[in-house]
Amino acid sequence: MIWHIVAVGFGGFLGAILRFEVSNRLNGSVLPFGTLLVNSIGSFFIGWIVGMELPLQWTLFWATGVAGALTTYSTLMKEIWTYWNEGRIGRSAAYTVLTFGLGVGLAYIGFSL
Amino acid sequence: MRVRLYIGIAGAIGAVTRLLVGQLWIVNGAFPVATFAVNMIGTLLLCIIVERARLGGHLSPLAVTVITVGFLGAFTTFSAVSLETIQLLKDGLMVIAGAYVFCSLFGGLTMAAFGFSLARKVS
Repeated sequence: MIWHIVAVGFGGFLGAILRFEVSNRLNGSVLPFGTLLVNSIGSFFIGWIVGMELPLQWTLFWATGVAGALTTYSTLMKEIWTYWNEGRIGRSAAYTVLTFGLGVGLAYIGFSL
Repeated sequence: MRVRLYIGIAGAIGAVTRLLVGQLWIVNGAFPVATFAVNMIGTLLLCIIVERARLGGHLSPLAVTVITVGFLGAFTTFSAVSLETIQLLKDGLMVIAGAYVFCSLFGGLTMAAFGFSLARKVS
């Protein structure tokens, strides 16, 4: 159990820093492209890792740790809700469809590799 | 540079907390309850903290960034939602997969709305 915590902890450390860097550079006024990018890449990556059936330790590090922390749900919901609340209904809906479409689609492609 | 270190450490704690919720809260059934619960709680907390900070709360900007981007960002996860959805679809559980995405999306938006209004009431 302690090694599971260590693996996920190290993965979470890397994933969170990577998301911070990408979001800082790419989150613009049109759409939060940084959040969209980390959520899309993370979804592809978790599908790929789980599809490879690695030993548990490595799956915990890469999937639960790195991909889990690289992607985020709380910020995504805040962004969608903020657009909706500002009356930018189209942007809010487009961002939602784009995020979930790319996420599920890319996870499937990663898993199938 | 120090911001990155703090965010990394907060992210590690967030990811481990998510792991523990999943392992300690064993639920029978196909619906991914652990991920769902983590995402709902994390969204609620994030929106409360962000709105409190905007209205001039007591936390420093650094603390807000470390807690929201670091801890809550890593505690909640979108990749697991994508993965669990395709796993449900692969198992032929179309209705549960659809219900999972629907509940995650509208539950999350409800939590966001609730968090923002709660933060305004407290102020």
